[in-house]
Amino acid sequence: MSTFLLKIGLYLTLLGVVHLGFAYFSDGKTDDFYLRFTTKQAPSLVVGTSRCAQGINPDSLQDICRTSGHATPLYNYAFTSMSSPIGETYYKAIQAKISPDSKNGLFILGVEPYALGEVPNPTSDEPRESIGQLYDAHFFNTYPNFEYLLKHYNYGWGRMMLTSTGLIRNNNTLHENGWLQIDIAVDSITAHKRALDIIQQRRDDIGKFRLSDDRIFWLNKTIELLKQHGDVYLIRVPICKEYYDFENELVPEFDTIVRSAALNHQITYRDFNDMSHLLTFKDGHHMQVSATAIFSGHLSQWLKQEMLP
Amino acid sequence: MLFNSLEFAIFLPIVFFLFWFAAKGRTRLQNLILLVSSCIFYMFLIPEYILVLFLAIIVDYVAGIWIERVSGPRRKLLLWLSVVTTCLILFVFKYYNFFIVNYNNLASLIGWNYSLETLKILLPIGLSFHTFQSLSYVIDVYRNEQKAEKDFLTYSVYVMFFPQLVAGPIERAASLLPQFHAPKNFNLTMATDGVRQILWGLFTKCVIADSCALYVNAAFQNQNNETMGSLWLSACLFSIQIYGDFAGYSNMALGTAKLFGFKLMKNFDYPLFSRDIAEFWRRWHISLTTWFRDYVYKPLGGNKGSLAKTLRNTMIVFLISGFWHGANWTYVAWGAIHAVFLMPLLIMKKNRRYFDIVGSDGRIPPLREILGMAFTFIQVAFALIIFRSTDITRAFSYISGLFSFSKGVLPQNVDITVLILVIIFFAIEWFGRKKEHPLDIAELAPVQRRLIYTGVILMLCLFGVYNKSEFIYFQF
Repeated sequence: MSTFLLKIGLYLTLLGVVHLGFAYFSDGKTDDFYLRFTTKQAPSLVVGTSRCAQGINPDSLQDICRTSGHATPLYNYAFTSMSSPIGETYYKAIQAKISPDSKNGLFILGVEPYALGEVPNPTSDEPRESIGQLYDAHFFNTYPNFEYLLKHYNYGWGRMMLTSTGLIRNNNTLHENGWLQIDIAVDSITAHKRALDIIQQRRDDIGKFRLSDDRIFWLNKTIELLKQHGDVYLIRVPICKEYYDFENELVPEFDTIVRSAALNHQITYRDFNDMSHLLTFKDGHHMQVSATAIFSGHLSQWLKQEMLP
Repeated sequence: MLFNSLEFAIFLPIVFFLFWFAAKGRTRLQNLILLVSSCIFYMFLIPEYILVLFLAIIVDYVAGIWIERVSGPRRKLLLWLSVVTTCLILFVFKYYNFFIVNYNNLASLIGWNYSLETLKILLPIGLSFHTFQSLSYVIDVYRNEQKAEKDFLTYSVYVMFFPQLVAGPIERAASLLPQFHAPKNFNLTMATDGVRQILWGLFTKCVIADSCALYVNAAFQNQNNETMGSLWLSACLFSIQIYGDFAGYSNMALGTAKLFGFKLMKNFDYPLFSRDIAEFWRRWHISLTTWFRDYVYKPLGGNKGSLAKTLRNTMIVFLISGFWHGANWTYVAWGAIHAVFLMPLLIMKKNRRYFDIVGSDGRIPPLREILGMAFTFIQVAFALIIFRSTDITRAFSYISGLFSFSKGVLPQNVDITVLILVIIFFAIEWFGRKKEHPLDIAELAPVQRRLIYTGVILMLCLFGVYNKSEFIYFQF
C-alpha cells in the first residue's frame, strides 16, 4: 500500500508541477479573454463589448492620448455583450482594472442596444453575464492567473505551450494592449449572409427584447466611475447598414437615452455609423482587421478634434 | 460528479483513504462508506433525485425477499409488482413526455382538440442503468438463480456503487453482490491496474472523444452548409467520439472499482475492430447486450424457433434497446437499422463467425477481414448519424448530404491534430487488443512502463479537452 501511495503521490506531484509550469506559456493566444485578467491596471481604458474589443486598436490612440495630456497606456478592456454588458459585474471589473491613482485618464465607452438591454430568461433570475468570465472573478491583474485558468480554460494546460509556440494554430490573438485580433478571411458575400443570419436570429427575439432600467442605472454609475479618473467619451461603434437599421428598429429610443445620459454627465456622445460604408465586417457587426485600422485612425482624429484646440 | 472533474479528483482519494484506513478489515463499515460516498457522488448532480433512486431500491429490496419466501402465483404477482413499479419510475421520468408529445401531435393531426400537458422534469442521471440492474436482480431471484439479499445496506450499495452508478456497466447480482460480502484486502496489482485503466479512460474521454466532439458538434450543427467530405468525416469521428466517451467512462468505472478491490464486468472489447455487425454487438456495451439477451431475447424464444421467429425476436430486442437509449424516434430508428444490418447474417447463419479478436494469432489479418472491419465501421457510423441527430428529418437531411456534391467534396476546417490523435488511438488499441485494456502493461520493464505513463499523461496535458462535458451515456 505504501509503495502504491508513494508512486501515485509522486506522479501526481510531478503532474501538478508540470501543469503549473505550463501556465507560464499563457499569452494572447491562450483564449480571447485571458490576457485581460493578467495585465497590470491601466490609467486609460476602452470599455464596451466585442465590437469595441475587435474594432479599436489602442495603438492608434496612444499618441493622441499622450499629446492631449492623458495618462497612458490606453488599454482595451472590452469583452463581449454576454460577458460585459453594462451592469454591476462589469462595473466592478472596470473598478479593479483602473489604476486607483489615475486622475487624468482617457475612457472610451462603447454602447450598443444589446449592452443596455435584455431578452428575459424565463428559466433563470441570474443576469446573462453570470456565465461569463467576469462574474465570478476575484483576480483581474495577476500573471499567471490560476483562478481564470482553473475556471475557464477548457484544455490541458500544455496546450498553452502549443498555441504559444504556434504548433497549434489559433486565429485569434489578444494583444498586450487588449485589442482582440481575429483573422478570418471572409468574403463580402459570406459576411453579408452571416449578418443577415444574425439579424434573423435576433429578429426572432424582437418581441421580447427590452432596454433594461437596471443596465441604464449602471451606465450612469459607470460614467460616474470613469469620470472620477479622467475624461469620458461615449461612442457607438459602426456596424453594417442592415444591422444598424435593425437595431434602430429594435430600440428606436436608444440614441435619445444615450444622448440624455451623456448630457446629464456633460460628456460627448458620438455615433460613428455614418462612416460604416468605409468599413468591412466579418458578420455585419465585427470589423475586419483592416477596418479596425481605419476606424481606430478615424477615432483618433475625432478625439484630436474634440480635445485639442 | 463527473469522473473527468476536479471534484472527482478530490473525492476519490478521500473515499480511498476512508475505505482502506478508517474502515480497514470491517466489511460493513467499508460498505457504509461506499454507500455514503455514492450518495454524495450522485447528489452532486440533482440532489433530490436520490429519493427516486432509494424508492426503487426499497421496492426491489422488499420484492426480492418476498419473492424468495412465497411460491405459486403470488411469486409471479410479486415479480410483476416489482417490475411494474420499477419500470413506472423509468416511464414517468423518461418516457411520459415522449408519449404525451406524440399523442398531442396525433390528436392535432386528426383534428382532435384535446391536448395533454407534459411534465417539467429532468431525467435522473443514469436511471435506465440502475433500473436494469435492479430488474435483473428481482428476475434472478424469481428464477432461483440468485438468493435474495437480506442486508439492506449491502443491497443499497449494490445498486448505488458509485463507479458504475450513472452509466454502468449494468452488473449482475450474482457477480457483484458476493464482492460486497467478501472481506477486502488491498491488492497492489489490482489497484495499480485500476490506476492504469483510469488513466486510459481519461485519455480516451478527454483527448479522443472530446477532441472529436469539437469537430462533430460544429458539423452536425451546421450540417446543411457542410461539404460531403465534412459530413463523412464527422460521421466517422462521431463513432470514435461515442466509443471514446463511453468506453472511456467504462474504463474509469472499472479502474475506480479496482481501487476498492471490486471487479466489474468488461463493457467494451475493442468493438471498432469487429469484422461484422454481429461481432460488433458482442463487443459493444456488453453489459447491456447480455442483459437484453438474458431478459428479453431468450424469454421471447431466442433462436430456438423458426428463422422468422429469430428475426422477429432480434428486431424486438433492437427496437427496445433503441428505446432504452432515449425517448426519441431517432433512437428507435437506430435500433431498427442495427437489426436490419444483422438480419442478412442471421439468414445466412453467419452471425457466429468471429469470437476471437481479429488477428489473435499475431498475424496480419487477411484482406477479407480488414474489409469486413472497414465495412462494419461504416455501418456503425451510418447508424450513429440517426442516433446523433435531434430528429428524423435532420437525420435524413444529413444522410442526403453524404451523397450531395453541391456544397463541395473535400472536408473543411479539419484539425490535423485530431486526426493524428485518432490514428495514435487506433494504433494503441490495436496493439493492446488482446488485453483487458490497452494500458494493461504490467509485463513491461519498469522503465518502459514509466515512459508510457509519462507519454499518456503528457498527451492529457497537451491535447486534453476539459470543458466539463458530460459523458454521452449519462443522459440515458
